[in-house]
Amino acid sequence: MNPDILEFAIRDEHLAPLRLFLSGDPDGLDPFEKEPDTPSVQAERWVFSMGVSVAVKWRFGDSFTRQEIIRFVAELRKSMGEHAGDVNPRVAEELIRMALNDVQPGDVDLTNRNPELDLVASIAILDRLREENVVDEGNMDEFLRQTKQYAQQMLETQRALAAGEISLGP
Amino acid sequence: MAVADEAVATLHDLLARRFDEHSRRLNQLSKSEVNHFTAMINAAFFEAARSRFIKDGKPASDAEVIDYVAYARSWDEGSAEEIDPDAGERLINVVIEKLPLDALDDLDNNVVFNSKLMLLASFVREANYTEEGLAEFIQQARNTAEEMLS
Repeated sequence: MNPDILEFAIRDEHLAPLRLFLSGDPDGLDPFEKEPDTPSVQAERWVFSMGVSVAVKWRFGDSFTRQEIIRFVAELRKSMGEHAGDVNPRVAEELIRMALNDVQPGDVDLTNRNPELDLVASIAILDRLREENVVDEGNMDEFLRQTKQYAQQMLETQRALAAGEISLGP
Repeated sequence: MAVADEAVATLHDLLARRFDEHSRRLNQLSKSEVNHFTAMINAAFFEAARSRFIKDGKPASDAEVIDYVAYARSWDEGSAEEIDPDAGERLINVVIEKLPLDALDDLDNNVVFNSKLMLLASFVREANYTEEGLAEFIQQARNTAEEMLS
C-alpha cells in the first residue's frame, strides 16, 4: 500500500471513472493509464478497487460456495474468448474470496501479490458483473454511495494499520 | 523399457481408490520404481486427457478445457486447492497439442504434479470404469509409459 493514499479523503469526483466504466465507457479505466503520482489518481484507483469488492458482495451475498466462485471465474474467462489467458483464474478467485472475507490466514499470500495480475483480474471481474447487470443504471447511485462509504471505511482501516492502532490476525 | 509391476500396481491402487494399499506400496517403491510410477502417471494422464479432449482428431476448444478444469476443481475443497487452474489448463492443452511442451516451463514442479494427479483422478472418476475397464486403461497407460521410457 502506497502511504500517500492515506493522505486524502474520498470525494464524489473520485467516483466518476467507476461510474463511466460501469456505464460501458472504457474511459473509466483512465486512472490506470496515468502515472499514480497524484493523490487524485490514487484515490480513483482506490475507489475502483473498492467498487469491485462491493459489486462482488452484491453478486455473491453471504451464502456463496467455493464452487460458485470457481464457476463464475470460468464463465468470465470463457466469455473473453482468445483473451481468456489474460486473467489468471487463481488470482481472480482470490480477489473474489478476499472481497467476501472468505480467506483464512495462510490461504492467500497477501504480501506477495502481483499488482498487474490483480488489476487485470479486477477489471475483468467488474466488467463481468456489469454484463450480468449486478450494477446497472437503476441501482448505480446506490452502488456508488455504498462504494464511497466502503472506500472511506477501508481507508480508515489502512490508516489505523499504518499507525499501529490495529493489527491483522493473531 | 519395461515398467516395474510394482509401479503399475501402485497407480492401479490409487485410481481404484484403494488408498491404504496404495500408500503401503508407494512407501516400498525403490528409486527406479518411483521413476516408473511417475512415468505411469504421465502416461495415464496423457491417455485420459487425449481420450477426453480429442474427438474425431480435433482438439477441444479452450472453453471446454476451462469448463472441465472448473468442474474438476468444484468436486471438493481438496480438488479446488490442489488443482491449479492455470496449470491444469496448460497441462491439458499441451497433451492435446494446442500448446508446446515448453508452455509448462515457468510452472512450479509440485504444482504441475499435484494438478496432473488430481485431474487424472477426475478423469477416472468421470469415466466410471468397471474393474475390467480400469485394468484396460492401466494397461494402455503402461504401454504408453514403456514407449515414453524407451
